[in-house]
Amino acid sequence: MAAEHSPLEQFAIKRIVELDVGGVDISFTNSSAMMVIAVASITLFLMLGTRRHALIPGRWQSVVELAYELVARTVRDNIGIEGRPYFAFIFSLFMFLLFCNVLGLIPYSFTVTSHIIVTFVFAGAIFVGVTVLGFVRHGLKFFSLFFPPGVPIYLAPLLVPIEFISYLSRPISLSVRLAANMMAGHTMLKVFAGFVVALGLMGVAPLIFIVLLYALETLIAFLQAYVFAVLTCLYINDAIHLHH
Amino acid sequence: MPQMEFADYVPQIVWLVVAFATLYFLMSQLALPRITDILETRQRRLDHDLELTEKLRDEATAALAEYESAVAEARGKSELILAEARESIHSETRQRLDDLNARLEGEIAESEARIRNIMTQAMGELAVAASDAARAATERLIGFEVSEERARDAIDTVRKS
Repeated sequence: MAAEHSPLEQFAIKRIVELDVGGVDISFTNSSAMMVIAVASITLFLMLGTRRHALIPGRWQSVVELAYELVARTVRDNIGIEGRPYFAFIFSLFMFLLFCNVLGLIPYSFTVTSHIIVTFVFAGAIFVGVTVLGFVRHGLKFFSLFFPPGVPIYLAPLLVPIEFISYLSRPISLSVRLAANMMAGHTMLKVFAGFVVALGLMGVAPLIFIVLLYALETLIAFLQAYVFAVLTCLYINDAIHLHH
Repeated sequence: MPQMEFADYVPQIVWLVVAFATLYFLMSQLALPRITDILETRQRRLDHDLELTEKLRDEATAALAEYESAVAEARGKSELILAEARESIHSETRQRLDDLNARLEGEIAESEARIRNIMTQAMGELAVAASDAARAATERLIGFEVSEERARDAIDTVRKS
């Protein structure tokens, strides 16, 4: 029972269908289910919202267009016209994280993005991709990213290691920021939910707190998805333009 | 801590790759082209409408200019007509006045001639009356009958002196 009521119990991976292909565990878990639901929800949300191809959009289509414009503007502002090829990726990334974050707020559901491995796969793939992109576009000149122009040469021994470490820490900060935010918020909700039950009638106080916290968590769910997308744009911009 | 269960990492990674690849495919092939199409269609429509509005505005401006020039022309013409009418009235009035003056002058001259005639006639009658009176007086006074011619000559002489 103690484990059942642990605030971390909600993050447990539960295998729904055990699957093993060539020694690789590809079991369909509650996490996989939420990913599939997220992908399906995003697709339905976008496709049904635009099914009328309305010249004057209704509410639903307006929201779809808003999401599109938000990402399009972010890509344009941060990368410029050369960001066009990465738009579909950034859009998919933003929508996936947003839906995973928000769907995870539904009670008894599962938050895909609260697992560091999920966010790290994204961050690591982006890190590798951006680094490859930088070398493809600039060759060895890509190393000048670690030494901004206009800096006195004698600062190089100090500056280059700092820049290099900060570059290497990008995938870590990117993935930890999202996963930690999700995990902390959900844990806190769960803890206070336990207080509501334990305090009986006095539980109204933590209940009110939960309502407010829930609103904050919804904001964070959106904000963290957006931050992830913006930082990805910035990294791509660095690789394309070297110096901003 | 469930996040540190390394045994759960592989299925999560596998499903994440599958799910995200599917999503990327659906977005890049289906959803995004559709939204792009909607937005571009709208933008084209807006541009077209804007263009049309501009054209109509230009036409309206041109029509207004035409109308104003027409009004100005009409005003110029009306002023011309007015001036002409004023001129013609003026000249007719002067003509009539001149005619009247001429007629009056003629009548005055005629009247003066008539008066002169009447006076001459009166003078002539006066001379006859005077000669008659002179003859009668001479006959009564000196018993001498004076002929009519002599009496008139005498009176003429007296009058002329």
